[in-house]
Amino acid sequence: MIMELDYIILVSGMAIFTAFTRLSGYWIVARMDPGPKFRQFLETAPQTVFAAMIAPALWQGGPAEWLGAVITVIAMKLSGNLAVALIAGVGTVAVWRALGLP
Amino acid sequence: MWSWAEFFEGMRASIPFAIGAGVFGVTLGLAASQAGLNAVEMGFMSATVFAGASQLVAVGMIEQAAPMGAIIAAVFAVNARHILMSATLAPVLRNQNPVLRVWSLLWTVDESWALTMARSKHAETGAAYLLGLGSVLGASWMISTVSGVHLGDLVVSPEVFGLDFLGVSVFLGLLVLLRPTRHHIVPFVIAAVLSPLLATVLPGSWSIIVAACCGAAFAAARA
Repeated sequence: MIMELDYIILVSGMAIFTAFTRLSGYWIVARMDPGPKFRQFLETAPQTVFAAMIAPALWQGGPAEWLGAVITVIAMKLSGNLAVALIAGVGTVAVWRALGLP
Repeated sequence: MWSWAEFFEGMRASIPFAIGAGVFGVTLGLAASQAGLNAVEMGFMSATVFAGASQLVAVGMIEQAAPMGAIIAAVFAVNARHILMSATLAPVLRNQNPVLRVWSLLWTVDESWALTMARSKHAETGAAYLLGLGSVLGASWMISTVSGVHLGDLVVSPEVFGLDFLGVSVFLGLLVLLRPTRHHIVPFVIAAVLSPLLATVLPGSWSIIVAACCGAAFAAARA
């Protein structure tokens, strides 16, 4: 085993806080009935998190990333298979860069 | 309550996603090797944290020698979406025994949550399906992240292969899987516009959480 004590403490902290995020939402909802507004918030928030995580990369990116994003969405809609969508999207970006396009 | 048929259905349904997670995991392993982590350290993190985007953030911060508190706070911010996900899983898990419920929640990731929510709209779905997904995704995650560290020296520049785009691709694919309706468009636009703007003023990944909450709050206000 080659792990420093600092690293073990760091990862344990990350693990405990992550486990808390996975359990707490259930605990909150199990103890009270969320109204329609709170329910809508909970249903939409994970998806807006994805949108918020995607956006900075596309803002900073160029045509390669924009085209890659469009291809990912189309491939996912057509195939319903994430692996296919990833290969299509990442492949588009790789090919675009390999061709030396802007 | 427990159905092996559902568990195996989950395992089968997860395979394309496990391949995607595997590619992402290898990328994370490559990044970890660049940050100076060894395979044992990577495996320890993948087994206990098991949350890709946050691990990628943590590895980046370890490379920059960020303070421990900041890394843990960033991981919490990235994973805060699990609070909302586990809340929406409540109807699926309410009738399960408590040990099974906690265990399946601990193995929940973006992919297994999205697939479970999608299935629960048209079929009776329980912890077995969620755990079936989680077991394959977890195995794929462990194997791929540790292999990625070993591969670290072989791939010099991930950008050449477009691998830096992988995270964006994963989240876009998951969004499509959730079949957003036109009611989601305005909340998405709010999150997508606020996120890069807030990133210039908010530290860590808090811009993502705040932007996402603003978008979701708009959807809630309309409900």
